[in-house]
Amino acid sequence: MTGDVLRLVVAVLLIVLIGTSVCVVGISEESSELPEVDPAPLIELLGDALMMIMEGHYAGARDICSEAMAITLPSGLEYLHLRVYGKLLELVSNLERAEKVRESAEPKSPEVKVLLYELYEVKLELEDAIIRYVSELSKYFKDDATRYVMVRSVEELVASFMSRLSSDIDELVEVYLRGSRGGDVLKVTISLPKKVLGGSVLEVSAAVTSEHVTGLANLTVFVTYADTVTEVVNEVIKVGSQTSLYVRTPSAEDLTQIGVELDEELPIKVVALATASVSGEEVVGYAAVDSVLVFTRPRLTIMVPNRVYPEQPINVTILARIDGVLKAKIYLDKVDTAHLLLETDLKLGKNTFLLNLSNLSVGYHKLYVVTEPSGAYLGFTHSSAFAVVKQPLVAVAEAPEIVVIPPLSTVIHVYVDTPTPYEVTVYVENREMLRVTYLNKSRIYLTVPLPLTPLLWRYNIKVEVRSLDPLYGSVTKTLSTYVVNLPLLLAAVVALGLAMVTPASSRYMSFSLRSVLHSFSRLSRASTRRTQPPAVSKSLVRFRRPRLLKLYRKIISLLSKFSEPPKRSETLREFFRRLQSKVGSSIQQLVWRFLSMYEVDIYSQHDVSESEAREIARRLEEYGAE
Amino acid sequence: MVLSRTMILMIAATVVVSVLAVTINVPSTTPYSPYCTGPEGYSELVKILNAVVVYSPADVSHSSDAVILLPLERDLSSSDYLTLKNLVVGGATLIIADEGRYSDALLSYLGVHIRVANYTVLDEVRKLRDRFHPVINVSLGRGRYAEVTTFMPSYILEGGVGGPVLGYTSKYAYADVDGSGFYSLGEVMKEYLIVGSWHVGNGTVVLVRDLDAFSNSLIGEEGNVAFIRYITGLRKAYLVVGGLRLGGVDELKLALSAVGLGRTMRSREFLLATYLLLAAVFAVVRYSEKAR
Repeated sequence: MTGDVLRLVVAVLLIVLIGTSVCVVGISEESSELPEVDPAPLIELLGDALMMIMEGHYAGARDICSEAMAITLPSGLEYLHLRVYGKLLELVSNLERAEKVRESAEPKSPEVKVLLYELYEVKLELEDAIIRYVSELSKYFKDDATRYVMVRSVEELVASFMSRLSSDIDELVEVYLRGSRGGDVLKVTISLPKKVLGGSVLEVSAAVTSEHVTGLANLTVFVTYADTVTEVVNEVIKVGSQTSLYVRTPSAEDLTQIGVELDEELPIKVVALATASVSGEEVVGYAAVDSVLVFTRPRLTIMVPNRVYPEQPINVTILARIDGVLKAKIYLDKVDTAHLLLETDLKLGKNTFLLNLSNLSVGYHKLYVVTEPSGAYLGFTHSSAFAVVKQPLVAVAEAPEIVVIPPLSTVIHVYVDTPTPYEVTVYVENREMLRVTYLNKSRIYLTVPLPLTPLLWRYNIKVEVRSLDPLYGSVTKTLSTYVVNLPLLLAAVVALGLAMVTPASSRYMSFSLRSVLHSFSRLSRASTRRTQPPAVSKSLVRFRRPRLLKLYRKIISLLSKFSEPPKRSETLREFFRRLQSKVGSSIQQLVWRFLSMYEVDIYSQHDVSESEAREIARRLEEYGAE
Repeated sequence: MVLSRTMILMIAATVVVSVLAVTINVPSTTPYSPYCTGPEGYSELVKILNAVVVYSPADVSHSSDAVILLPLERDLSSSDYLTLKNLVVGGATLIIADEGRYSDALLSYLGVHIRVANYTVLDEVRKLRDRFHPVINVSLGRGRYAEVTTFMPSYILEGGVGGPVLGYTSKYAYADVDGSGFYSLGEVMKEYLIVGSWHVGNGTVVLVRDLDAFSNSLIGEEGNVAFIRYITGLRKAYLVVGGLRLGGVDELKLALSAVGLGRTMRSREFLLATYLLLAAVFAVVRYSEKAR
């Protein structure tokens, strides 16, 4: 016992000692997923950087860019973020150089030229970088309203910034062209409409002025359409005066021919360059203005019927709200030369065309109306679907309501009001009974065989008239008629009447009816027994309890003083034979009588008299008591 | 079974020593507890400053050479205000870490009238890891700065600052008024004042609107260590825990440390020696009984 206690104490000490040796329990904090980036401050930061540059605070812009580049962001966003601020730093550096250059530059200075290229390049790259950056940042906003306000605000700022940058570059171009000196410069101003229709005349008003220069100046105006096509107009103008130059803008077909992709608005850039000679030195002046070359879609409304019959001409109406004439082509089902139906001119107002199309298949078709680019109009394509349907076939069929047979046929009258060969098929109860072909007969009488009818029946007759000309449809008429077999019907009525009236016949019929009914009922009982599966009880077979069992046991117990009770292997009669030698005759008689009754009770379906059995038991009791 | 008195005494002694050892050595999990070694605990702060942990300002020895760190999660009693005022006026530096408004009454008592706000300040631009960890640019005076990392700090709304220690967020920080964790329209982006200081008598009061800047997870940041070491200097530091919501175990640890058991009970050698001594005594007694 002492040893047990000692072991227990040592165990406790060891556990506690180990526990106290653990002095540091590290609690590890499950790292939770980092929250996503909040784009709003980054948008503000970008806005501040752009504002600083626009205001010329380059040192402040550098500080902002440096702070921005130190921010840690998710990898996809970080790349765009660093690209933007990297380009901004590059731009700041270029703008600082441009400021210095502006003060002292010779005309056509290579340094200025290089700076101009670099500025153009960084402007293009910066514009692309900012657009992608802002687009990526906008995905991080959780609130739609905040996204809308902040993104819109920065987009407007970016647009202003780019516009300002373009102006700065334009100024630098001027510095490149004329140098940094003041005084001997030509000031060029040009004006033109903000929008001009394609194919029309563009009027450019230009003026060249100067404080110190007089005389004549060469004015060259470059008009560039869609950054692709350039027209050059030269004129000599007196310095201090104004002139107007007229330039025909390209039409839609002109631009299409040279492969320019047409749009409703294309940019026009007009650059005017004026040069004059002063004391042997050339002085220049420069101005640039933008405009827009406008094209419109022709306003055409095309009307085509929804359905036509074969060989029927198609009436096409085109309502045109256009200036001048527009060439149009109409195609059937496909826009290619093989399917060209008509080539025409469309004028202002309603233009109607009748198209005669032969051998047009039944079904859906399409009509295409196509106009080419012309003048101030862009190209136009419109399709309308129409259906070619079969000519209707007019036919009437009549059959008598009641037909008495014999003969086993009836006559159906068919009238076809269509000048076409046709085939008539007659079905009686969906069975084809007759098929004939007529070339050109409008009224026909068909003798249609009828099925054998025992007494009376109603038949559905279907008459189908089908044109042999594929351009015509078919028609089906459904009729019905009662067919009466008169001889058989009369015979049946007579037989039935006789049977009903004759006594012997009526008795026989009554007996026969009852037998038939009885047979039917027995048949149904047998089938029920057959159909019902035998009830297989899952429980064990149980014997019926004998009615005299209790009396039997009583009598056996009374007889037990004379003989042993019946063994399991013993029958009742064997038991009685064993008992016989041990009891008197009166008892034998009583026992024999009872055992006979008991045998009947347990082995047969017959009833036994319980009262008699009880009397026997009572008398045996009396004997037993004696 | 009948236990002898010796046995009972031995078991009792062992249990007492073990319970004391467990109480003192098993770390706490209560946030901001000096006995908590987890990320939210202040155990590293105590180690770095070799600070004395006391429950009440009254336990701080009166000295102009003291730096009192006072993290607050609940109000102090008014008797503490007087004690603290005497300490500060006498020349001590009081550093209050409070994200709520528990220091309002104390500051007012000390003559510092400011307004604070409870909203969390987030900063996506100047941050550590994410915008919930704004990095505060703290001016320590004499041209010295420290970048202190905080976690979801609140800010000083108005009242001006008189002392040299000032800490601002970047100008792209914002107070998350709706608690969405993101900037929402109407929220203001600006520089928020997170750390302020005021001269009171001969001492200084520094208010840091964040409790986590001194926690184990952030105290290891270079800026945070530099900040606390600069303010503390070589002076004796006291960590007053009466303003924290400590659990019973922490308070028991504090009490045991106060009676001087802390050091000895933390020593494994001491504990081992104690158990071996108890076992030796028991063996001797049993042997003598048997011999008898």
